[in-house]
Amino acid sequence: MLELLTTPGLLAAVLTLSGLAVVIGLLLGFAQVKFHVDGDPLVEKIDQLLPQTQCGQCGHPGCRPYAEAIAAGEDINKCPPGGETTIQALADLLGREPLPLDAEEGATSEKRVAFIREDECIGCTKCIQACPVDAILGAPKLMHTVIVDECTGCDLCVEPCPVDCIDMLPLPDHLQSWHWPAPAGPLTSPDQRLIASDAPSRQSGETRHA
Amino acid sequence: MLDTLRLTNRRFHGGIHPPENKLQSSLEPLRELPLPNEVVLPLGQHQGQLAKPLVEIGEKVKTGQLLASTTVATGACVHASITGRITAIEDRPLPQVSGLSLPAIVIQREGEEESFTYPRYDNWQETPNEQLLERIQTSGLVGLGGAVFPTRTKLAGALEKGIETLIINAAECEPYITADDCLMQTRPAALLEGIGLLIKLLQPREVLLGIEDNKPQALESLQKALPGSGLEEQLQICVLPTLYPSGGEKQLIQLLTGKEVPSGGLPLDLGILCHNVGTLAALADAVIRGRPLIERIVTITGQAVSQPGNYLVRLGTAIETLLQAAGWNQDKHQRLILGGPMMGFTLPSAQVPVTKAANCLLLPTEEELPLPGPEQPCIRCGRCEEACPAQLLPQQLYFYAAHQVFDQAEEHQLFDCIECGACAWVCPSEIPLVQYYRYAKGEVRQLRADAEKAEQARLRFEARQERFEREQAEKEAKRQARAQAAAKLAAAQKAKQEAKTQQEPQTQSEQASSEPDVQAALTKKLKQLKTAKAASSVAVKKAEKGLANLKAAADTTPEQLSEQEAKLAKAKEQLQKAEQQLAEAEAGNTPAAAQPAPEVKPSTGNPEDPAKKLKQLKTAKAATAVAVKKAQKTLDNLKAAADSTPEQIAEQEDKLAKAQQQLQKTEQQLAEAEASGQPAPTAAPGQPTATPEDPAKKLKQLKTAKAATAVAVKKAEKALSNLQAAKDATPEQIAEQEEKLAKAREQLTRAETRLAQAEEE
Repeated sequence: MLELLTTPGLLAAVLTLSGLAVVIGLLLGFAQVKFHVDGDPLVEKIDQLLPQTQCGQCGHPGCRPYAEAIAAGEDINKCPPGGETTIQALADLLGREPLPLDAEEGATSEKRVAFIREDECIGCTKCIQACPVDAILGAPKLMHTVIVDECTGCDLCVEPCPVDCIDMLPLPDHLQSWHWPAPAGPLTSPDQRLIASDAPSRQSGETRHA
Repeated sequence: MLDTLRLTNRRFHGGIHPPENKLQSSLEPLRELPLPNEVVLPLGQHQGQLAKPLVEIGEKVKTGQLLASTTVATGACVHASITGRITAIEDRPLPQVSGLSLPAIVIQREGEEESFTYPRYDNWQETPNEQLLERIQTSGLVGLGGAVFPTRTKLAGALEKGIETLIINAAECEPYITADDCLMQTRPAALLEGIGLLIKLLQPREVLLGIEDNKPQALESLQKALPGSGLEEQLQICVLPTLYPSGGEKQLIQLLTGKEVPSGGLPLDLGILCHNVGTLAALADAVIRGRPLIERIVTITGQAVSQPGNYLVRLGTAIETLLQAAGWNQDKHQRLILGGPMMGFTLPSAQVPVTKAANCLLLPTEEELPLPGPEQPCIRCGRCEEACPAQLLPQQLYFYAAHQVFDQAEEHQLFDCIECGACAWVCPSEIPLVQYYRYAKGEVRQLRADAEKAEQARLRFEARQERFEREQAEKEAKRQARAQAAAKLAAAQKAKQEAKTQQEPQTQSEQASSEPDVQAALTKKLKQLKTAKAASSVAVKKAEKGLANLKAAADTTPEQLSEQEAKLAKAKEQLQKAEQQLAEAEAGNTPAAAQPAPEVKPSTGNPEDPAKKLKQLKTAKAATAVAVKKAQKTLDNLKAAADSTPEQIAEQEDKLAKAQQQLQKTEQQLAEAEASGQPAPTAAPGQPTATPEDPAKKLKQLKTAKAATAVAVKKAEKALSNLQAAKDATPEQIAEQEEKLAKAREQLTRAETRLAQAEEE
């Protein structure tokens, strides 16, 4: 037994392997300290996919809490503002099955923002306290107004208003936000076409009308 | 001269040869339109910032006057294009597919044409660059090639970075359009002046002008104008083979220099600046002749107009007006295209103004430019890839766009697409590829904007949460600080009290030893005593009030009353004690509180005491009188009510008697107090002494009582008779009632006796 251990080749091998184990162990230990990630990176990724309206329609107080809940195993179909796109993105990220949206009113397709009918506002500041993104300006007993660019359209200010002077209005079409619509797709009416270049002039009118 | 001319043998990838159809308009001379009656000048383009109006409605403006200005990099100044009066500043539709509106200034023509004169930079060669750039900015110059990017911003960027090569784009590759061709034929000198200006500004190493070989007259005109312009040495005119889209900026750069603009980069990154000929002529007009950008050459062409050609048009002229001047044949007209057949788009309406970007209005007939057939599925023939001048994969982009896989479309360099339309032109399936790409680009931009907005919302939400937490923490800290302070104070007071009781005997000696300390302690004690006095006087008042209330309440039991009275007495005692202590403290230097005053002499010579007592007694008397009255009233009511039991009445009578007794007591006290000026002992048992007003009052009360009892008797009698009249009354009921009546009568006789006695007295 002792002879076997003292065989020079075996000893060298054992020493080498032990040495390697020590070095690698040290490296791993160092890496764990050096590259330690605070918090759950998955929550960050999920939070990135959520629309950040902070509307609470998922039953959580904000998007991040919902992201945390999803990371802990909650369903991914509780975000009406995100709609199918968000569900799909979450399903891709988490490797889960995309579920149909679970919401009372269904997805809100068009973007809306809160609008305060300023003549009726009594200046109670209740909506200001309700707004999750501080998008309402005002002071007690003074008229309030919504910063349209900051409003996420979460509806949370509508409920607390004692005089019901808040409307959720669709954002008007604006030149800056306008972009070309999708073409109707194959085998649809050519009237939908808008670009002149879609008309190859080399083709004769007869073949077209035939 | 020939050495200025160069033929290029470089090529870019792809490209197509669509029918040129330029002869329709290029053979006609440049025509000037009569001045329009109204112009509409939008304050911005579809992108970038709006200019700020400097004029008001109703103001009279001259041609060329600055109407709206902006200093932001993406905005351009707006000038009046006719002389007249401003009739409106309102939203007007832009010449755009969406048909959406932007704020615009509307001018109605009025009076003779008058030009607003700007100083001319005749010696522009010596003028500093900043001054020239300033003029370029205030002249509202933008790129007239189609992108409408503000010239000043472009030049400022080039000045900052420095350029090697200046390229003048005279290729005008799109079919039908001949506006630049016409400009080069009619105003070559202005173009060369503009080139000279740019050379002065930017000091490029080489200046290249690219022109397609389908414009021989323009080339000839330029060559004629070149000698004597001072540019012979620098300007190289390069003739390019006609191939669409050689006029694309990146394609032209590749043709002239062989360099490729990197994906996502600018020509400036290669030290190259590219300008359109129209822009250069306008630049010369603005700087050398002091004329801002108020007109441009527009090609009106197509077989649906009878007079196709190039027109010099004031900006803001309605396209409809322009078309009518060109002989618009509405029967033949099939659609109105702004721009060329490759990159232009159909306008929803002709009621829109000519803008700085409008280079061509195309009105083809159905035979000339038929509507595309229905979109067919992609057959993956690959022709689009062969035609693409940007070396993209159009069919891949199409699939990604059609199926909304936008991240993949971006991966495939969607944003390097120049939307030239070559792919759609060659597509045998007639897929509107460019529209797919424009749609995808719009969606991607929208998604980016949404992501940015979501990020901002997230930050704002987090900031709000943080603020809440901070506020909560601050509140908690404050609360804890308050609790700590209170605890400290309580501990200090306790310690002080303990010290007080322990050091009681030593107080005197301490006092003697440390004079200032003692003085401080004295004032402090005085203060404390005063506070104590105030507190006890408040307590007295409260007790009095409670007593009065109790007395006023008819249903107060005598026990409650006496209890309250005892309380009042105690409070008064305390007050006296406090007052005494205070007086002592104030009078002598002996600290009153140092000796805990266990006994209080009730009869202290306090000057304000008797008067106060008197007042209190009077109040008490009044309150008792009220109580008596109330008790009497209740008694009367009880007696009047037929169903009140004799016990109730007796009880009430008892109460009344007690109240009366109390009243007497109070009155007596009051009298005593008034007589002696000494406070009467409050809790002393009152003796029914005859006060002067007492008998009369009593008499009256007794009379009232008698009357009430008589009424009760009568009521009882009536009830009895009713009962007797009623057949179904049981004998028990009658007996009961009779008993009641007897009791009432007894009471009546009692009352009468009392009254008689009182009257006797």
